[in-house]
Amino acid sequence: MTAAAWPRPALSGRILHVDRGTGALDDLGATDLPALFGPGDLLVVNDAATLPASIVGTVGEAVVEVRFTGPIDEGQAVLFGAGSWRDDTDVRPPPPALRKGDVIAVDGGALVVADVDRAHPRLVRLEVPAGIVWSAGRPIQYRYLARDVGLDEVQTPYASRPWAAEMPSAGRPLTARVIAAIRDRGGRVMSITHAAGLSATGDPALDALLPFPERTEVPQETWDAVTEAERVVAVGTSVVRALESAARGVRSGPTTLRIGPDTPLLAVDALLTNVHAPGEPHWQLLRAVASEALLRRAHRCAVARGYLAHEFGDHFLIT
Amino acid sequence: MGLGRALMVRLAADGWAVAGVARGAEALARAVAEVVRGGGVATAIPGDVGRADDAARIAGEAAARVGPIDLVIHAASTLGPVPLRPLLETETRELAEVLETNLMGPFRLTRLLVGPMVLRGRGTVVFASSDAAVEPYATWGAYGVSKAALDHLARIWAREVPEVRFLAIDPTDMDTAMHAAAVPDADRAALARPEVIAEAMVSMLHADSGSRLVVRP
Repeated sequence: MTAAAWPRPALSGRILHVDRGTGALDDLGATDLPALFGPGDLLVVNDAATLPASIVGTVGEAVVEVRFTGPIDEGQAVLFGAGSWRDDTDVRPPPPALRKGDVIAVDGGALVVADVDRAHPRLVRLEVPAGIVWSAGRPIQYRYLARDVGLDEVQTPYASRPWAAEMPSAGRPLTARVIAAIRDRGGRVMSITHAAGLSATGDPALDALLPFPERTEVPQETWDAVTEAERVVAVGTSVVRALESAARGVRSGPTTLRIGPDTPLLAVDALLTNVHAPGEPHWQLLRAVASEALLRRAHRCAVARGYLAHEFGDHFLIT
Repeated sequence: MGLGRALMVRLAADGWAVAGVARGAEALARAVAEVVRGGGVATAIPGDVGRADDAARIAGEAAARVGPIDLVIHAASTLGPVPLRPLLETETRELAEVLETNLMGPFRLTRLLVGPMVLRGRGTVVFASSDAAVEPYATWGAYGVSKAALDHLARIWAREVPEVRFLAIDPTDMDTAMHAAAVPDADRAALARPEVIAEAMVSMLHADSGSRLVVRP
């Protein structure tokens, strides 16, 4: 599947409406979204802003890229070796082996290694001087893009607290005007904040652990609306994790919930998400929403119709 | 940051958690300490709204520290070069610098903060205006033009984004360093204290969106 090669305008995306009831696959544009919703519908978005979560520094002579996995005060990061976002993460050299107390020199300061994971030495916890990501950091970059992206290009239209390592991109089509149009038709749109983490680490052993525990916050007014709604539409996989965690008692704090084919959905009825392919980390989560057979049919249809994948690509709406 | 400090103290006393933004880190730290001594919640975000690179950090740090932002007061402004001078003696670059701080800065920050306000269906954005936005005072060209544009920006935001209240408030003359720079020979004793102005501004926060209000201390 082809990826979008540049950050496309928010409303240029296509939406494949996957109807679980009838099995129908309908080709829609982002501007068609409001017409699909009405009274009783609640769309829940993740309002986490995207951090400049990548900082390149040095340890002695060695170059290391630090990618924070969530809110900077948690200090958790995955280390990458020399090279740039243009290199496949699988072929980049490993980062230098670091130990507790080692110092990573970065622009304007230093990151001190506070802890190294025993099983996965690229997974570390760092002491981070306040505010340094804003001067030394830049957004995590994507190899499939033709150029690098700026911080303003990896934000949703309603981005608020900077908790996300990577953009909760399923909500890109929900501009203020689209939100107003959904509300005009009687639908509701509300938010949670969820620290969407890294989409990949370049290390199969670490990838198998994704998603890591992520900080989540489901406000009371959003949870009340979830319990009142006839149909809850999660906008993005991070919202599925947040709402299903809330339904299991975790409304605030880190969630360790992992969602797969056997996870019953207690809060979420439908999902607007990026186009995903079998084998991607998010595919397992999608299988909690729809059957493998239907998802594969949707994926084949998306490929045949030239849908674009990844952060700036097109969408599935599974209802 | 005469008006900014007074607004921080007033809003914190009313129970707001306040993120103060100013170029002068020391004066800002003193303002935060004053709020905290009074039992309020405040945090310091040193930064320059006139710098494009600062906007994402200011908006992000503010939301991260005090939670989703419900109220923004754009109180930072610059007069440009002082003593004030006629347009014929104003460099294009000097006008651009005034617009950067007084117009582009508030626009940039508002764009970042209004999106989440739309989503939550509430929020208030206040732009500090001036009588120089209405009256074409000689020698106040750069500043007056920036404030006239800011007034109109508030009105257009109000038309376009009904979920959020946008106000332009003229705080009127008060005893601040900015006033002293503009009118060095003013009788300071006759000027209103920033605390009095801040209280009046805060009492106006429920006015109709799109209004332009003038403080009557």
